[in-house]
Parts: sequence; C-alpha cells; structure tokens
Amino acid sequence: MSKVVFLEDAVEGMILSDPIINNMGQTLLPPGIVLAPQHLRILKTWNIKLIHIKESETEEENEISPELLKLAEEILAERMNWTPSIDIEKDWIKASLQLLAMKLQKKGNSYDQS
Amino acid sequence: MINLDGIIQRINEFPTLPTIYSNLMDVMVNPRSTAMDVADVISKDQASASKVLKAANSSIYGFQGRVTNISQAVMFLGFEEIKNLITALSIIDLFASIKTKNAINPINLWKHSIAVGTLARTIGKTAGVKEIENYFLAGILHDLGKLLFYKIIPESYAKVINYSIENKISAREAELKIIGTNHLIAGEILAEKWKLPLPIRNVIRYHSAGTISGKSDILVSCVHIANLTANLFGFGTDGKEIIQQPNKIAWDDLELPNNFFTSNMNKFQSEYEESVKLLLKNK
Repeated sequence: MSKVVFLEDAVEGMILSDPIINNMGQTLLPPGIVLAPQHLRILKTWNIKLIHIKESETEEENEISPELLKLAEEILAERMNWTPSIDIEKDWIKASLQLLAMKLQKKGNSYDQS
Repeated sequence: MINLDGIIQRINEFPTLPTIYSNLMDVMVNPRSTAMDVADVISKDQASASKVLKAANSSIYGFQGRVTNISQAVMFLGFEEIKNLITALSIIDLFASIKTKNAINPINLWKHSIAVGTLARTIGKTAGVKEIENYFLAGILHDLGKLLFYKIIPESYAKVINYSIENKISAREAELKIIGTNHLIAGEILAEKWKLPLPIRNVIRYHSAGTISGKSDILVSCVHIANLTANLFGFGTDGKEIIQQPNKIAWDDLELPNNFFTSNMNKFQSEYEESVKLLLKNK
C-alpha cells in the first residue's frame, strides 16, 4: 500500500512506491528506492512536489483488539438512535468502527469519551 | 433573535468572489479562448497558481507529479475542472479571515467540507458518474450556509453548536431554535447572490434531505452520503455529532458495492489528509 506525501514532508529512509517521471516521460527515480538526503535534494531541484511512498503494513499495526472494537461500538452507540437495515449501511458502520478503533489504538486508549 | 430578514441583509452586504474568479469566468465564456488564455489569468494570481499546481498533482485529480506548469494543468484538468477548483479556492480564501472564537473552530468545518469534497468525488466515480467535475466543489461548498453563519454571527453560532450537542439534535434543528432559520436556506441565498450553478445550489439546499423534494438526484445523493460519512468517520469533526440515518433513496440511487466502505476506508483517510494539507496549508 502506498501514500502520497509532499516532498517537504518526505524524510530519509522512506521507500518510493511509484517511479518519479518528468514531463518528458523519463523515469527520474524507480520504485523501491530508499530515499537518501541526496535524492531529496535532487527531487527539490527538479521541482517535484509530491511523491508516492510505501506504507508499512505489518500485522501488529493493523490488528485491532476485540476490546477496542467494543469500546468503539459503545462510543458510536451514543451518537446513533437507529439500526442499520441494509447491507451497505452495515458495511458503512463496520468501516467507521474499524477507523474509530484504530484511532483509539493510536491514542493508546486515552480517547476522551466526555 | 436574528431572523431570516436579518440574515438576508447581511448576505447582501457580503463580498463578491475575488477578481481571479470573475476574470476566469470572462475568459471561459468566450468561445475563442484557449487553454493559454485561461492559464494566463491563473498565472497572474501567484497564490492560486501554486494551489492549482499542487491540486493537479494530488490524488484528488490523479496526475501525480506529472503536471509541472499551469498550461498543462488547464489542458489535463479541462476548463470545467479548473473553474471549479478556482471557485473552491476563491471561497476558501474569502472565508479564511474567520477568527476562531469561543466554541467555534472554522478549521474543523473546512476540514469537514474538504472531506465531503473528496468523498463525494470517490463515491460519484464508484456510482458510475461520467461527468465528475463539479463533485469536489459541491462537497466543499455543501455547508456554505454554516460558513456564512461562522462569519457573520459567530457568537450566535457558538450557541447553536452547544445547543445541538447538549440536546442531541441536528445542527439545523438547533439553528432554527437559536437563529430562526437554517444553514440550508441561508447557504442557498448566498449561492444565488454569487450566481453559483444550479446543481451546486441544489446540493447546498438539499444535502441534508438527500433528495430534491423526494426525487433522487445523483449529485445530491453523493454529497448526502459523503456528508454523513465524513461525520461518521470523524473527518473534520470532534466525533460528537448525532449520526443521521442516510436516506434510502440516496443509497438506492448510488448502488454502491456492499463492501465499498470497508474496502476503501484507508484510501478515504489518506485522500482526506492529503487534501486538507493541500488546501489548508499553514492554517
């Protein structure tokens, strides 16, 4: 999985997921390159604004505990007074619970429930 | 209490859109205008030119890293998309002077609007819409009435927000109670003053309902779902708003795949973050 970052936010060690191509169609840097300070300098010289970098997808990062999902359900229940009835609505709610649980995980369970 | 007449009077005193917008409209209505003429107008406004380039290279439009000058941006995006992008940028600039006061945080409202813009575009594409040009703009502007309230009656609107949270009711119900009108009506009046196109005015007026007087409209359906999704997913909100059940007519209109949200949620999150950074940099 990749994400787009502004060159000014790119740091040494990030891995290019897509090639960098100039407006003549020439490949300036291939995918898979681990960005070093000299790459960042050159990209700046070429006036490249945005680059695609690889995102880490380790199991531990994506795994959400059942406890966090339960907490997410409780938080969401406070904001809903209806029950999803069709498949797309159930998928909509499921996605929001996963996103909320991930946020809770990032915040180390310090989510403000007030 | 302020009433609709008071709001209308304040709207009449409200500024028109910036010069770059009117200059661009003048060039675009001329059938002899070329991409170079349009690029000339944009290039004269440095701030807009830089943002157009960044937007063209972002995942919103998908020409990542390939658009290096304004002429290319005009050719790649097309007149219609460029016009909509400049309209969005002009309106963001116009409201940028809103000062943060009390409970009101306009940055969150902008973040929410940008989220609705990116979501509306993605939902529209998935729903098979071919002419997607005004979906991002429609999403950005759906809450024009709220932006107006933030600008002209910040103290009253802070009360609206608190009232809505305390009583667990929607913003428009709280607006009716405190202001005597709602952001859907006020937004439509401002959109008419600015002569924004009818599809955009329809979104501003009907995005909460999800239909135009019971009849489906694909753009309104998209923004309706995108708006509720941004609220549900916590994009640009503090996660306390009541989640309204979407209008079934809007779901039926869009015919989205049943796993659409779970399979795209990471993409939604990254597109939202990228667009906020792009359009609200230094804010």
